[in-house]
Amino acid sequence: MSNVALGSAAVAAGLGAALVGFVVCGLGVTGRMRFALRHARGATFAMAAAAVVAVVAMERALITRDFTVKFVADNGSSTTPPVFNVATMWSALEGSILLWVLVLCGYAVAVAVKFRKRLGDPLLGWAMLVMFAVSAFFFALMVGPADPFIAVEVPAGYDGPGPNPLLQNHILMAFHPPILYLGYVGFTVPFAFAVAALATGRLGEDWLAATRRWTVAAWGFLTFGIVLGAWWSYETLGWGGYWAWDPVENASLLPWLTGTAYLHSVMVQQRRGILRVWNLSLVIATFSLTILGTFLTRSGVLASVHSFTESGIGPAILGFFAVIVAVSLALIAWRGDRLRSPGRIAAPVSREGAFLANNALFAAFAFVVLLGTVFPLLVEAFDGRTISVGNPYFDRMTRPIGLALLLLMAVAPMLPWAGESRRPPTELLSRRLMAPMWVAAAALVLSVVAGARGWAPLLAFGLGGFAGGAALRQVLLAVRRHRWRGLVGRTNGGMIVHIGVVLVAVAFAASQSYVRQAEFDLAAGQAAAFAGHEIVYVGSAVVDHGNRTERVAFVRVDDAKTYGPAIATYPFASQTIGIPSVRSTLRDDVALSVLQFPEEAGADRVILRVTVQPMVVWLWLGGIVMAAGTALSLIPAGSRHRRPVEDLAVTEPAR
Amino acid sequence: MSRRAASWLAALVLAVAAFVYGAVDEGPPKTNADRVRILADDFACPVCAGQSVAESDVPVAREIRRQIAVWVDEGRSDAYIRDQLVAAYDVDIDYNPSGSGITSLVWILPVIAAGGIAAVVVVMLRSGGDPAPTPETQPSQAGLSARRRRRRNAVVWTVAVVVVTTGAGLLVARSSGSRSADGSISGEIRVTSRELIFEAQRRLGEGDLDGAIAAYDDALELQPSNPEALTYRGWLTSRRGDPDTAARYLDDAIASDPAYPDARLFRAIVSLEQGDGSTAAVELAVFDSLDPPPYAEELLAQAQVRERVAAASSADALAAVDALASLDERPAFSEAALSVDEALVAAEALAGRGDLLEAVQFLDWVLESRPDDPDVLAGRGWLLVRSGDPELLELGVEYLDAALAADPSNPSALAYRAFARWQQADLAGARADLAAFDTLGRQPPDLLRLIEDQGLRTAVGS
Amino acid sequence: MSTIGETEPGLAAQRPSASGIRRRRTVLVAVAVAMAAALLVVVLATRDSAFERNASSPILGGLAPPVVGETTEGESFNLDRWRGRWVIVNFFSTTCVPCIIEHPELVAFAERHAAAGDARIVSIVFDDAAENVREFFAVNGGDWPVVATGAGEAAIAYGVTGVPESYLVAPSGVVVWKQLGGVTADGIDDVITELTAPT
Repeated sequence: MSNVALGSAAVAAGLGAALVGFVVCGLGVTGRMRFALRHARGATFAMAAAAVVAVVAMERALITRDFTVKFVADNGSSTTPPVFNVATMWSALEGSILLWVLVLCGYAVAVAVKFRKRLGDPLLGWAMLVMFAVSAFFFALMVGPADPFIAVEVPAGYDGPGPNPLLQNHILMAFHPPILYLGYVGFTVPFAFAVAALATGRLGEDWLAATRRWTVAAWGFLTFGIVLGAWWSYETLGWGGYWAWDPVENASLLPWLTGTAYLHSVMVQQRRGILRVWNLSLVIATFSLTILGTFLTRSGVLASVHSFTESGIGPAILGFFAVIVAVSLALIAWRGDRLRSPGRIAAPVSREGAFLANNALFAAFAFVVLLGTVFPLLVEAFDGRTISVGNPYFDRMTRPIGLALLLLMAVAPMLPWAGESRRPPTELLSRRLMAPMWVAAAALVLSVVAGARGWAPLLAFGLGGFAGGAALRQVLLAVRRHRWRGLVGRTNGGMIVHIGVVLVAVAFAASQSYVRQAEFDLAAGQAAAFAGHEIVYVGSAVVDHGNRTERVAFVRVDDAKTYGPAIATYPFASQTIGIPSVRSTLRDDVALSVLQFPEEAGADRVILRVTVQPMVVWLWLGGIVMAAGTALSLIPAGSRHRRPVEDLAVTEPAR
Repeated sequence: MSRRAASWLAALVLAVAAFVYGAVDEGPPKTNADRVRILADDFACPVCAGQSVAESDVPVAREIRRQIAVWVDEGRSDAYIRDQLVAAYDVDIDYNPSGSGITSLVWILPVIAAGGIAAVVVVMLRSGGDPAPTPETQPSQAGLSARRRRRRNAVVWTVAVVVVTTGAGLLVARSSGSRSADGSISGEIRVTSRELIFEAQRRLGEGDLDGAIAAYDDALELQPSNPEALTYRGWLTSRRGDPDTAARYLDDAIASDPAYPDARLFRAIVSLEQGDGSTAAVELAVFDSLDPPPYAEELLAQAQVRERVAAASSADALAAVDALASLDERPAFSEAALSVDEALVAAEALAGRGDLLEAVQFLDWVLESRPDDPDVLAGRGWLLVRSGDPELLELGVEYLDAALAADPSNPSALAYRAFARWQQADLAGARADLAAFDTLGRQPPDLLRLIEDQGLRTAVGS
Repeated sequence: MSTIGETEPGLAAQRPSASGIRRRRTVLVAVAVAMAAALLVVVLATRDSAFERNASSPILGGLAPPVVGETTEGESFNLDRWRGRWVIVNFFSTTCVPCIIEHPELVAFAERHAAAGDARIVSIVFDDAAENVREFFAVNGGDWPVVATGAGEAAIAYGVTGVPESYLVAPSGVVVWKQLGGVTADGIDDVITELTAPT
């Protein structure tokens, strides 16, 4: 069977299965055919099988270079190396939707299997209904405007251009998008349960408990995906940058911010039963923002390096976004009277008070980022002018929020829940924050001795030490008390994530504040000294890689290893891209990128851009620590597991 | 003091001391390269999607980086660099939205939002987790008035929060939305003399002579030797009826830039006004050699400068001839204070007066001293050719042949002989002369005009 | 309040204000958020694609930025000296393919206006060596000045985004037209005719 036929059939079957599942759940939740809900699982299996077949068809087409598939003809090439050939699927729009659908179907199956015993419960029924609706939408995209299986006829001997050269020069291309999608798509699950809670009126803590791990996992994937993306751009772009406040980067940060806020405020609701509307709103906002991000990435409204080429799916996704927001808000408004909280915040200086402040900061952060991202469009719409909003705005506006969050990270874990301790919180704090304070002082002294200057980075280092000390203290205490179990569970895993966040924050502040950069014009054998490093241009060579020709500049850094930044020419795309090379140490990174080999007879010269940035490695280490902490927090902490407060909305719906 | 308090104090003192030292101490000064990098990061690469000038490696981004480096090395302020780039690439090159106008909202709104969020949090913490105080906690009797009071308080507080945060937002917008002039040596941006001249031109176009004069004066204040400003300032002065001052301006302009055609043209006109035909002729000749722009030619025709110069030089030449004639004994040409060019002009003038014979005799007198001068021979021939008499025409051609024998590439002789042969119906000969004329490097404009006016080319079919 | 009364009569009778206020406020906030979201959707839906948004040039209509420098022939050049003529300020480099395609059109334009002298071309070489330029002109024709020094400064002042790119400067010294990419001789003449046509 040809790949086009197989793939098209699979996509159509997937859409069919999603619609069947939607109808089945619809009949089930309206009450007349509750038994039908038990069959939702079958629909998820069918849907997932269809998605797997479609992906297999696509990969087979890519691997066998089946240029009768338009997607392969447009994006594949016989010269693309195997790893990137597989990854070609998500290097262009249609394939990326296919990957999205695969991940979504995987989540649907996982939910159906995990809750197989509760499938008759209307809450689950509604949640499955939402998941089917979302799946149906994405399958429909592939049937309609983003069809990955369009047949074309190509002349004999045709060879495709291959993916964009920038997407096939680093191995992270194979990992970053799938992991990011696991994060994005994962938020569909809590969203589905939130809608289900609103629809069924069971607005208590039941749906929270059901989705806690799902949310944490999705958040972990999103976090790791973002860090990998930053790492990737750092390794491939060659100017020492990993975060540029690009619209698409912001689009991934927005759901992360609201998701992070949710992970914190959900603890308040589980403990006190308050902030119900807020938590629902955060979940809905997180999912809506992933869809908005999808729109921004794929519609071409905003200019971004990460954008896919322009396509017709923009209006469809925007419409979907509008429907999600409208339906969710209507549900919240409809349930407004039932969202009354049974609990209250008894003391401002308490854990719940700190969580509230945390949420306020994250909300402000998200607002700043969202406003900055869409502001040029707003101005253009109302004023007709085109403006840009970039680094200066985001740096200035997010810096105070970031610093405040660091401070809160130090203090909040030390605060007792209201009524938990009889001693006044100030006394507790003065005892528990003593060690972190010393860590902060040590961090400040160390950084000043190491030559760090300027109030903003120093504040970041001091507060980073404070927060890191606090998290470290908690982890050490827990390990002392519970051995290895002191590393797992929500609280302890969360503290490990905090350590990762502190590493990232400190590395971010250091690498942004103390970056040095210069361009050198060097002849072969010539050396240059820069920012405490010696750089020697040894010479250059031309290397043919089949799909590209590289001219490599051999550069020796600090009399040690020789690095090979290059300029690669892809003949098909008639495009040249720089391939940077980075020397990383725990202290600082030396990033080398070739700007140009000046054409001059008889001389081997290179124009080299050298970027020296301290502590960049700690960004990636911090990301790994965050991912590890997330994983640890998913392991049940055993006997210490606390039951959430009883579901008041269920027990007394019409008090 | 307890041990804990002492420990806190020690840690705090240490931390604050380190912080203050690090924050106050300037550290190594920012190098120009650092400033270039920071600035480059603040501007959008004009052709890349979502990358800054610092990030992109496309040629234009590299060029902008290079230019920023030049400006930084020149000691320009951030604001100056921003204005230059915005003037060339429009405001969307600036990643830092302006703090005024509609774009200031991007600075103000987050501050208002932060204030609002903070207010909600404070209210929630004070009222115990419920954003609105729950009415049921109030006694039912006092409930109503208490609610009204609360509502009034809420309104007052809301207004206060909005006002305060808006003010704070405006401050943020003011301080962030503009570039401070740090590292600047010459912060202000001046109007250049170029712009002033442009302004003057605009005013001139509108007929606002006084405004134009003022603008030119401003330009000259900035750059006293600017030839364009000097020229037009002089021209305007002459139009105001003061040719002597005008001449001074124009002479300055010519001294400053001898190759500026406009100055030569106006100098010629002013010379005519001053009654100095010979200077006018000289300036006109220089003007013709300078490759003047089309509008200058138009102006020239409009003011009939050529005609007036020709008339003036004829008059001068005739006066000279008359002066010679009035002498008792006419000296030899080589002893008379007369150039060949002047002599030729005089002969033309005599012929133009109708005294063809006198003109011919006059040139014969010149030939006594300069028997082989091709120009004189050609002029002598031309007088005969023009007479219309076939015999004289024949004779004229002989003179022209003699001229060409003396100088085979004499443009006048070639052009005149082409005319002669045309009149003799020897079209092939005329074409050959014309072709020879066309190959000459320097073709005097008056000859070109003559050929053009008489329609020689079409007549001989070349 | 009446809606609550209908759905939950007991609740409404007991405490009318508590959930009434709460519900009303939830609805209000939801409506406000919905309006903001609707605004966002409308704005996003009505935007052109960023790929199609054309870069306007702020230098159009203003005094042409100075072009002062030395040509590849070693002569000094000043754009102001050409005031009174139409001038094509052309940015190019010898290695760019569209520039090579464009060049014959510029040659044709230069020849068309050589006699009248009412329009001229000055090229500014971007990112290239003088000897390449001389060779390029020797092969491809054309004898107008090519400014080699100060080219970067001029390019930035004109807001050049890539090569080839051309600007038309009117006799008054104002930049009146800009072309991203290659020009054609007829195209430029059309613009000149249009601008000189009596209105």
